[in-house]
Amino acid sequence: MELRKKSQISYPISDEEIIELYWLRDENAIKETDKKYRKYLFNIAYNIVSDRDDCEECLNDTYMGAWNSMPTARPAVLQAFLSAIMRRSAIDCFKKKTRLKRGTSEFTQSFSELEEFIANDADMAEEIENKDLSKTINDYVRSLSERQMYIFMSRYYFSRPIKDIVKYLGCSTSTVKKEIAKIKEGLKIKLESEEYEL
Amino acid sequence: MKKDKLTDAISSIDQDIVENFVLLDAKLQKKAALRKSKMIKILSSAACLVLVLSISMSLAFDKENPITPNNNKPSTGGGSVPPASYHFESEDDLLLFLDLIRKDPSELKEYDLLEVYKDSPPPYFDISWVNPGELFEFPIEPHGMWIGVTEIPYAKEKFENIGYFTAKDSTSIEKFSHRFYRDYSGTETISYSVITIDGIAYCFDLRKTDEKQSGIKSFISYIRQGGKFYMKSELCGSEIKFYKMKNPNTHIYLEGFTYFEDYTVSMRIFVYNKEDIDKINLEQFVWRDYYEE
Repeated sequence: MELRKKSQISYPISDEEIIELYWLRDENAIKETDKKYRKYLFNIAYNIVSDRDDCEECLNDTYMGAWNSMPTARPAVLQAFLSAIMRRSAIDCFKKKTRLKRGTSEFTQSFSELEEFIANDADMAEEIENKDLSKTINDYVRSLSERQMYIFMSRYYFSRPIKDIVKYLGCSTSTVKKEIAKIKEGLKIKLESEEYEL
Repeated sequence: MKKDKLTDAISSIDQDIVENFVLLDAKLQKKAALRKSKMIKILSSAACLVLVLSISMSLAFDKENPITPNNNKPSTGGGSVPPASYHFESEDDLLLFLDLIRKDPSELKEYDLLEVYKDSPPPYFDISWVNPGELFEFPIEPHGMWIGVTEIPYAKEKFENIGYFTAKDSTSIEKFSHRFYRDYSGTETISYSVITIDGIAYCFDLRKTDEKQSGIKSFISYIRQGGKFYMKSELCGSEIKFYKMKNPNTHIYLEGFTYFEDYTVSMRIFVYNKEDIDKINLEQFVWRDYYEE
């Protein structure tokens, strides 16, 4: 490691300043976004597409998405805003990829966990279409404790590996697995109460 | 098809939930990094401590070579001297750590090391350790020896933020440690910076810095001005008192500088003995990013 002088350190600028750059149509906005959030966004993509080249592509799509959205958007939490774009982009990329050949990733793994208790019959899909599943899931996530919400979002929204959740929560794998089981059970009850046929 | 529906439903989770998650995630990731950092430091310091203790014990038996701050050899640089880093602020801390290792090493991985320090009364504020009220004047000398660098990760919780310096070269300093406290009580921030060199603590009091709760913009610098050194908070511009050093043979020069990555502050410390002035080797100085993996 080499000595770094104070003048050589580049400080990440604040989110407000980055957003301002987008609004000013200054291309440094993308540079600064990349400097500050590249690693974070890359991880989101990697958990979904499991391919570094695809992640790079998703990163570019995300930056382009942010560039096209601001203005008019002025996100309250830039990181969340970028995460949502990245997730969408990564899922699109994953779907495109799986149309060509079957691929597996943490994304498929996490969803297969939920599929376990989703209806076995083909009519389920149709039924889900007719009901507001999104609202049910939103309500359910809101009803969770902060810790459970964190686990749910980590695992099923961002498709994070369990080992990462364990690392960030500072607890054991078995604890997280137990929590996941509880969350799944809770979701099952919620869906049943909303009269989804399970 | 049903997977797609489920994916779509989860994808359309409300933005405010995503925002809450991201904020919580950032907090938890920092805590995880802090746990990891503490672990690495403590493990490395345990090894160093054992080494230094064994050297000290062997020297203690040699009456012709008593250990004093002034008869230590000046730095030769090049990293041949094992680094000394003391991260245990009390014997109890060390014993607790060793006890944990003995009992179950795997348990240690999950042990939040911050807890070791969280509730321990800070002995550094014992009045006998400092001479309050005297503005300290450092002699202005243009050079010296870098001996340490640290990262000071801190949380908003009371007295939970603790930073340590790792001495890169220990030839002129027997013991070196640093603690940094912030107490977010109401709107007032109280910060203490305590440096221990050769067993003598130097306490720098940064009280009443008026900092807002956000904490992110705290900027504390140690500056040199008109033949005097001051500690200064850039945010409020208030001048901070330096307390007089008890050991007149060791001169310390502090050049703080903060590094805003949310709650991470980094600071440099510059320490020298007069004998070491011509032995500067900046290569010894190692900057370590707190978040560097």
